[in-house]
Amino acid sequence: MSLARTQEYINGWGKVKQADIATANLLAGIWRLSKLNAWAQRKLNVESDADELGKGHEFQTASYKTSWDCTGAIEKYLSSEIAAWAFAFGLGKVVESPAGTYTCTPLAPVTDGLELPYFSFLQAARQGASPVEDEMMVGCAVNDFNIAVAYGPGRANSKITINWVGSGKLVQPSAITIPAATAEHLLPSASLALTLIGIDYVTLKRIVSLEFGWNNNIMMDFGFFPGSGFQDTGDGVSGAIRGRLLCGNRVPHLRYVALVEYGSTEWTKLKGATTGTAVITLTNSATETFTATFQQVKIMVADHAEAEGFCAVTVECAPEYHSSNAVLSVVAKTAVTGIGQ
Amino acid sequence: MNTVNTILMRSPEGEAKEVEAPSEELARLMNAGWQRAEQAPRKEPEGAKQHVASKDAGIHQRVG
Repeated sequence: MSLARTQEYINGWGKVKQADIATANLLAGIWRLSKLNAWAQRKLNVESDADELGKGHEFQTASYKTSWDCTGAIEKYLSSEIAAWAFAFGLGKVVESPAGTYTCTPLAPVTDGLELPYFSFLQAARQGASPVEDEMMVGCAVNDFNIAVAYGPGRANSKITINWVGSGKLVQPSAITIPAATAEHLLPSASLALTLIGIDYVTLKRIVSLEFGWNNNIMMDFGFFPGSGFQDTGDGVSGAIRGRLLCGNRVPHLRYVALVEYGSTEWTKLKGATTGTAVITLTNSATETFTATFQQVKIMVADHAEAEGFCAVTVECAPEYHSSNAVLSVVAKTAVTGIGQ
Repeated sequence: MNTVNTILMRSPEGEAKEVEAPSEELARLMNAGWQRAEQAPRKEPEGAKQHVASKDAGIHQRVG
């Protein structure tokens, strides 16, 4: 027997963007990072003819390969490398200048369209002559990401979760040897700087936990359009794949829990519909860091809460569209160059 | 020594502008639909063009 344990799982994915949805990343554009969860899923959807009339009975006599789905999640301790990647591929528009410094913003539909940069995702167990698993999903895009920082010791207090979806195109075996792992620089919770509508939560020592992110709500079924193509080119019974992954209504989110004290203003700001920026920074070093700026946020919910026995408030913010600065901009820095390029 | 890093951005209408990066202005322009301007294609020297033209002329002359 040649069984493999889950610990043999390795993965890699496009650090640079694909040329288009159907053109896989090349080895030179792929990096390998550790993560906390294992297999992404590839699914062949098969329809049965059991419910069709005319057969004389209720049983299946034939099946049809109709379409393919590829989905996965990247759950990781937060690092400057994965943060830069998530912002570049999750927001969609990225300018690298100088090398290793990435300014990321959401796509501007008028000029950028609503197709995010695509990447290939590889996963394997025991690559080589006798692989247990070895596959590459081509034409993947970030559906949503969430960064969560919390109190307490350990790496788990600063994590990122990225959910991605694919066109359905699957290459087995991948024909790419997944490269050695890229060294990462953690962005621990203890490095947080947070100023939100004029409140410096870290200086005041009031922040308990924070999470923020972005959801592209990618229109999966809309990716199957007439002519979108098949798993095996020219083979009409191999199952359809998507020819586009368009963003639906994009939704940013920002919420946090903070301790309350005499003079806390969350409730006042909610009642006053006060707006301001939210600036979030996590830092490993001057060259391994990011700053995310929500250009105009408003507190929508400020509910009573409790944190380790202390009075607290759970705050839900609405990131609004600022007339000149839009919704969100991020400057991410890492030694790794070429992300999203 | 600190050096200011600038890049060339191009507006949806084609206007080009040198912008410091990273900066709030760069993010604002990106949000407004500006793209990073590609490097302008290198101009072929006039002499090279003339050389090709005269070579073609030579071929025609020979064929004729």
